[in-house]
Amino acid sequence: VNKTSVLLVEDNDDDVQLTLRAFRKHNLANDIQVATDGQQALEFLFCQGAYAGRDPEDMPQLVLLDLKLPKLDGLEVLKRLRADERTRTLPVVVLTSSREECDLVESYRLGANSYVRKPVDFAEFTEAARHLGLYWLVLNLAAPHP
Amino acid sequence: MPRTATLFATVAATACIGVAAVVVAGWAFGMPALTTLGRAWTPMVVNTALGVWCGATAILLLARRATGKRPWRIIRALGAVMAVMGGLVLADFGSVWLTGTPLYPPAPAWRMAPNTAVANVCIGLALALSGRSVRVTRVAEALIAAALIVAAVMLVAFLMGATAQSDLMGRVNMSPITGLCLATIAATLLVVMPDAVLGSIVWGDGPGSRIARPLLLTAVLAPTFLGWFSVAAERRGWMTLEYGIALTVLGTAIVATGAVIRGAMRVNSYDARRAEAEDSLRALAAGLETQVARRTAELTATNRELESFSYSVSHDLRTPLRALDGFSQALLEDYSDRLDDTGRDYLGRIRRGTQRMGELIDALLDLSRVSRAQLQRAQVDLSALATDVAATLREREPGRHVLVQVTPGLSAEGDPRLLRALLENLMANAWKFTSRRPDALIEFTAIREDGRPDPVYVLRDNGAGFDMAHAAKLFGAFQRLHTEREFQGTGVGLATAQRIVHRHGGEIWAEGIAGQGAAFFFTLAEDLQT
Repeated sequence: VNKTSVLLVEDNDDDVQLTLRAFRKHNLANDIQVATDGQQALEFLFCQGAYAGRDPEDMPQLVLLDLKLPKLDGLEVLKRLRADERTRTLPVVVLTSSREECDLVESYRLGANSYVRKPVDFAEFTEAARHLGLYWLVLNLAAPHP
Repeated sequence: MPRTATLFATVAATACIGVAAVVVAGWAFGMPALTTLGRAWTPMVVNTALGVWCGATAILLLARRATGKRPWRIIRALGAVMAVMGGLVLADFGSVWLTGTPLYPPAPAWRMAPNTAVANVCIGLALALSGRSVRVTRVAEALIAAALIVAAVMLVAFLMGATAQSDLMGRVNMSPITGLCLATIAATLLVVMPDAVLGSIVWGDGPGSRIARPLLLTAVLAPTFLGWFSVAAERRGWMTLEYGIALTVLGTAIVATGAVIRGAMRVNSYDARRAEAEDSLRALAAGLETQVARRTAELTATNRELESFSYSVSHDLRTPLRALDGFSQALLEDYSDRLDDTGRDYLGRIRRGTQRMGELIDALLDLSRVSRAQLQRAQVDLSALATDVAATLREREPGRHVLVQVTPGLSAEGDPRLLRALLENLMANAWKFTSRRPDALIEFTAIREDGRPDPVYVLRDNGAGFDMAHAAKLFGAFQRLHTEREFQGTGVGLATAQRIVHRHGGEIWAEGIAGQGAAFFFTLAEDLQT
C-alpha cells in the first residue's frame, strides 16, 4: 500500500499552503509530500540524499510540478524523470502560473501528462485541485511500477 | 531647350529672314545692289531667298514653341517647299546634262545655283522628316549635315578668296550670302532640332558636353583661320602656298593634339572625381551595414529582454495575487464567525481587487504576445471567423438576444490566430456595449473606399457608442471611456486590436455616436511585412 499519494514540487510557501488546503477541503489526499526545489524532488523520488532511507517501492500516484523552481527547474526535473526507467510512466501534472506557450509546448514535449494553469481566484483553484485529485488519484489507472 | 539656345536660334533665324527680305525687295524693285548686299558678289536669287525664309521660319517655330506644342505640319510643309524648289532646279540641271536642253529657261532672278539646290533639297527633306521617331531624326540630321558641308565649303572657299563669279555647270555658283545663310540655318537646325545628337551635346549638362563645347569651337575655327591666313599670306607674298598649306596642316595638327590632350585630361579628372565619390559611397554603404547590424543586435537584445520580462510577469506577478485571494477566502471560510459584515465586505473587496489584477495581467500579456508573435501568412476566411466568434459569444451568454449579420465571402491574407484575436476583441467589444439594448445588432462587412486599393472591413453595432471627442483615446492601453460599473473590461482589447492591425500593415479607426452605436473600420495590407 502506497504511503505517499502526491508529491507537490513547489517553492512558494503560499502556494503550498493553498494547494494543501484545496486538497484537504475535498478530502483527497492526506499524505502529500512537498519538495521545495527540483533537486529535492529528484532526491525524494530516487531515494537519494536526505531520502536515502526511503522505501523505493513507495512511489507517489501523482507529481504536481511547478516550472519555476530554484536549483533545478521544473522542465529539467521532468526531463530526468522521463529519462529514468523507474519514473518513466509516473503521472506528472505541470501546475504553474505560466501561460507562456513555450512552457506549454515544452512540457508536453518532455512528456508531461497534463498542464494546469493555477488560477488567481482561489475558488477556481480549489475547483481545479478537486478535479485533479478526482481524476489522477481516483479515476486514473497508472502503469504498474517496473 | 536652354534659354541661350532659344536666343541663339532666334537671332540667327531672324537675321536670315532679314537678308532674304532685303534680297527679294532688291529683285522686286530692280535694285541689284540689294541682292548682293552692296558688294561685288554673286547675288542671291529669289527662290534661294524663299528657301532661306522657309528654313529660318522653321527654326523659329522649332525654337520658340514649347515641346509638345510645335506645329509639325507647318514645319514639314515649309520643308516640302524647300525640297520641291531645290528639286526643280536639280531636274533642270539633269535635263541639261542628259539631253542638252533645259526644262525651262529660268529668268536671272530665279537662277538658283546647283549646290544651293542640293542644300535646299537636303534641309527641306530633313524638315519634312522632322518630329518623328529618334531613328528618323538621325536621318534628318545626316541630311542637314550634308547641307551644312555644301554651304560651308562655299563659305570657307570664299573666305579663302575664291573667285565670287566662278561658273558651275553653266550656272552661277552659290552666292556667299546664300552660303552664310544656309550654313547658319543648317548649323542652327542641328542644335535646335529635338533629339538631335549635336544639340544634346552642345546644350547638355553632362561632363561630355562640358568637354565637347570648347573642342567643337576649336575644331571649326582653328583650321578655318589657319587656311584663311595661309591664303592671305600667300597673296601678299609673305610665303608660298606650299608653306601656307604646311602651316595649316601643322597648325591644325597642333590644335587638334592640344584639344585631344585637354579633353583627355578633363576626362581623367572627371573619372578621378567619380572614383573618389564611388569610394566614399562604398564607405558610406559599409558604415550603414555595420550600423544596421548593430541596431539589429540591439533590437534582438531588447526583444529578448521583453520576452523574459513577459515571462516574469506571467509567472511571478500572479503568485502573490493567488496568495492574497486564497488566504482572504480562507479567512472567510475559517474565521467567518469572528468577522462582522464590514470585515467580510473588506475581504470580498480584497478578493475582487486581486481577481481584477489577475485579469489585467492576463490582458497585458495578451497585448505583449501580439507584438512578439511571429507573423504567419495564410488566406483567412474572415466571414467564417466572425460567425465562429459570434457563436462563442452567444454560448457564453445564452440569455442575450443579439442579431449578428456577417457578409459572406470576406477573405484576407494574414495571421489566422492574430486575425481571430482581432475579431474576438472587436466583436466582444460590440457584444459588451450592446448589452443594454433589447434589439442588439452587430454587423460585419467590407466596403470600398476611394483612394484605397484594399477593402475596408467594418464592424458596426447599435450599442452605447461613444463621443467622437474621445475617439483618440479609444485605442490606448488601459484607456476606457466607460466606468467599470457601466461596462466591465480591462481597457486592453482595442489596444490589442490596433496592434494586430498595425502588424498587418493596416489601419484601424472608429466612428461613433454616444447612445446610438459605434463602427470600427480596419484595413489589412496585401503584401505583409513580416
